[in-house]
Amino acid sequence: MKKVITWLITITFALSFLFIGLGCAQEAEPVQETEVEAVEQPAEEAAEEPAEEPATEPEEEVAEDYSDLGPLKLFTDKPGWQNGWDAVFAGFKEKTGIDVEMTGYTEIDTYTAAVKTGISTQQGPDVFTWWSNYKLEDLAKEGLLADMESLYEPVRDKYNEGILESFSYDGTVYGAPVLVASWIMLYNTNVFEEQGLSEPTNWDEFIDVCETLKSNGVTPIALTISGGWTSFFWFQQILASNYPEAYKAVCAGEQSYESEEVEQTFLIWKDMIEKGYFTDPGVDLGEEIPPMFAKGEVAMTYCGDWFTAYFDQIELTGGEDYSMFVIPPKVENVPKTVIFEAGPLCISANASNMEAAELFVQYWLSDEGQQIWSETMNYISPNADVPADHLDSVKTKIADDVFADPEAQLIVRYWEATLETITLPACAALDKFVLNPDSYQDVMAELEKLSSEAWEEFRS
Amino acid sequence: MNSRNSRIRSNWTNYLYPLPALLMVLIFLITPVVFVFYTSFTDWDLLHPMEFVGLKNYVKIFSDVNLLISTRNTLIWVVLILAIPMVLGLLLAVFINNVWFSNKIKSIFYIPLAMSGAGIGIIWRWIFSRSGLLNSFLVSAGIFSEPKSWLLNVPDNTLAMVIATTWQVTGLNMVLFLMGLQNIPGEVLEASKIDGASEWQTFTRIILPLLKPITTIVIILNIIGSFKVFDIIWVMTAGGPARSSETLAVSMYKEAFGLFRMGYGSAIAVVLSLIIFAIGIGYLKIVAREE
Repeated sequence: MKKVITWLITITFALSFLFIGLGCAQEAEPVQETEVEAVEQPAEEAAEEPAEEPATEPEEEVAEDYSDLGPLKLFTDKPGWQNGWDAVFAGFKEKTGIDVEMTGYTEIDTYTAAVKTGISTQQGPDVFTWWSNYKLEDLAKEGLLADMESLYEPVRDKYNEGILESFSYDGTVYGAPVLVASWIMLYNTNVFEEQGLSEPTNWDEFIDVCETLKSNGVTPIALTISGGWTSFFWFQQILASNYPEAYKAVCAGEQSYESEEVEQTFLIWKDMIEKGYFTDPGVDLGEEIPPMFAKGEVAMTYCGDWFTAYFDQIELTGGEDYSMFVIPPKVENVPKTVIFEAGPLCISANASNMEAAELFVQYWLSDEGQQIWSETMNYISPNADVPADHLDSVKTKIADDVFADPEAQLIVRYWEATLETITLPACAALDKFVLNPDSYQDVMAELEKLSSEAWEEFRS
Repeated sequence: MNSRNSRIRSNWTNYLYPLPALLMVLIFLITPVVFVFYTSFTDWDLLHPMEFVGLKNYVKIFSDVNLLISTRNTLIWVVLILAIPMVLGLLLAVFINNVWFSNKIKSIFYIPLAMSGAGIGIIWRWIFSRSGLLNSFLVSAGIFSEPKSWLLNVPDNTLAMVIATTWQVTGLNMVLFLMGLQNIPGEVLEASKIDGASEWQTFTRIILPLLKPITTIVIILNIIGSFKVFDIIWVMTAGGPARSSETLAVSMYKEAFGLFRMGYGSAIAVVLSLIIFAIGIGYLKIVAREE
């Protein structure tokens, strides 16, 4: 009898292990579902602020009642932006009568698997948030995304072509911008004031700032490799700001990770680590860096400007408690280069409610939709006709110093700029460098091996 | 005739009772197993149609450096889980078995098992984080001058996760050993006392041999548990930094759902299942031979 029980236990566990994989996918539990009811939306919001340069074509008006189309299914990996979603859904409901059923996922892998499996059928989302460039291309070239060219027609001149390009494949736009963020250095203004520091305008000044902070017992910069995906931050920044063309070529698989520019990047980073400019890399991005920053234990942190949402949560005020600057390059005579990330909203080519999906994206791109999103989220709208007067002074500074600066060259973030099969393993390799900066040559060789294999597979 | 018909009907309806359970097993156990086995011979990435690649995924397993690290880590887990929570469970069971309030306190040790692995991972990640409980204590007690990143250093991170797992599974081991202890006839223990055996001699020469059947089950459960461990690792370190704390189960998940190499992930799952199966059979054979 004992033997039988033991046998049964062994067999059951061995078999159950086999389908852990599938189980993981099937357990992709949505964290929330929201069906937005119609709420009052101030009428003046829609008509607010006439555009400085009116569009040549009048904006297409959405018809009033499309409720018979049924609800729209929207999937997102950004359920934390609930207020923004709710506000836009309410505006859309008022305009069209269509409810939006949102399913949010907090786990990126689960979300990606849910979308990839869902959109190949009519059971998946009608509309979903995604990533730009190669991640978008993966879906577009399989014919899984709906063409958005016609939806852009009335508003095309309001959107930056560079951003639309990051949502395009083979000359066709497949995404509407949900997020456009620049990667900048956020600094604690109180710490800077106490130490008599000002925003650096060149690399030497930047190093002086770091030295002053360090000699006064303040860790200059927050660095993290927690979560398994954050170690690319400084790699991308140093390479892109000093060698923008090399950065693009390396990301596109056209230049080796063992090239001179990449080696210089590692040497600059290594020097900064060895001089003690960074925190212990074990600090957590969202949980530990914001309070350390607020207490003045660390003076600066480099991230996408969406990181200010963490500061908002601990009641820091943009412009008063913190501000931003673009990290200057070490190499001379390099144009001002800023990393940006753009997150699109896509329509599934197999959407079961295609008409509602198109109406939603039309609304999203409109001045009204963008105004609601921008005001609720305190984000800079990529729609040029949406005023920025509601933004705090840091966001206004980003708009002026980055997006409105004709000299600034915007380059896509590493996460989207290279293949999906490279990014995660590359972060693991960069972890090794952060933990042991002397290993940079091994790390370069590992990155090159990863890259060449991934590109070979991609091109075949 | 009527009675015969009624008997046939009765027999027929008897077969209907296990049908729902059989269907559940077929749909939720057998089908996924067959599907994973089939997928392991393809290069499926969720987007493109499955393409048969033969044994390519299995060949890759043996040349993958990262899997070598995962295998090493998995073996470390097996050894530590057998050494710590199992021994701890036995000692606790012996202690509790000898105290009058055993019924009142044994459930305390069993509570962590009722929690999900992810929940336990979150609690222990906080304890071991840089600004967590352990560092706060060590720094305020003056033992460390500054907080340490436990989850970032090898082998501290694996030890931290083993401690979290120990907290979860010791209770189960204890309950199983307690069952075994309570089934030992009192006369045997009494006889050993009369014969003048010391406590230690009674424990090593009478109790431990009599606990052998239950020890077998505990060992098998712990070995299988260490091969399967995923949730606590995923929540506490996600296998990092630099894949240093990854086990085979985490590698399988990362390949399948991080890099969308479903075929390769499935091949790892199949190999893992075969290892577990082999260990189970091997152990049973040894036990059978001894019996």
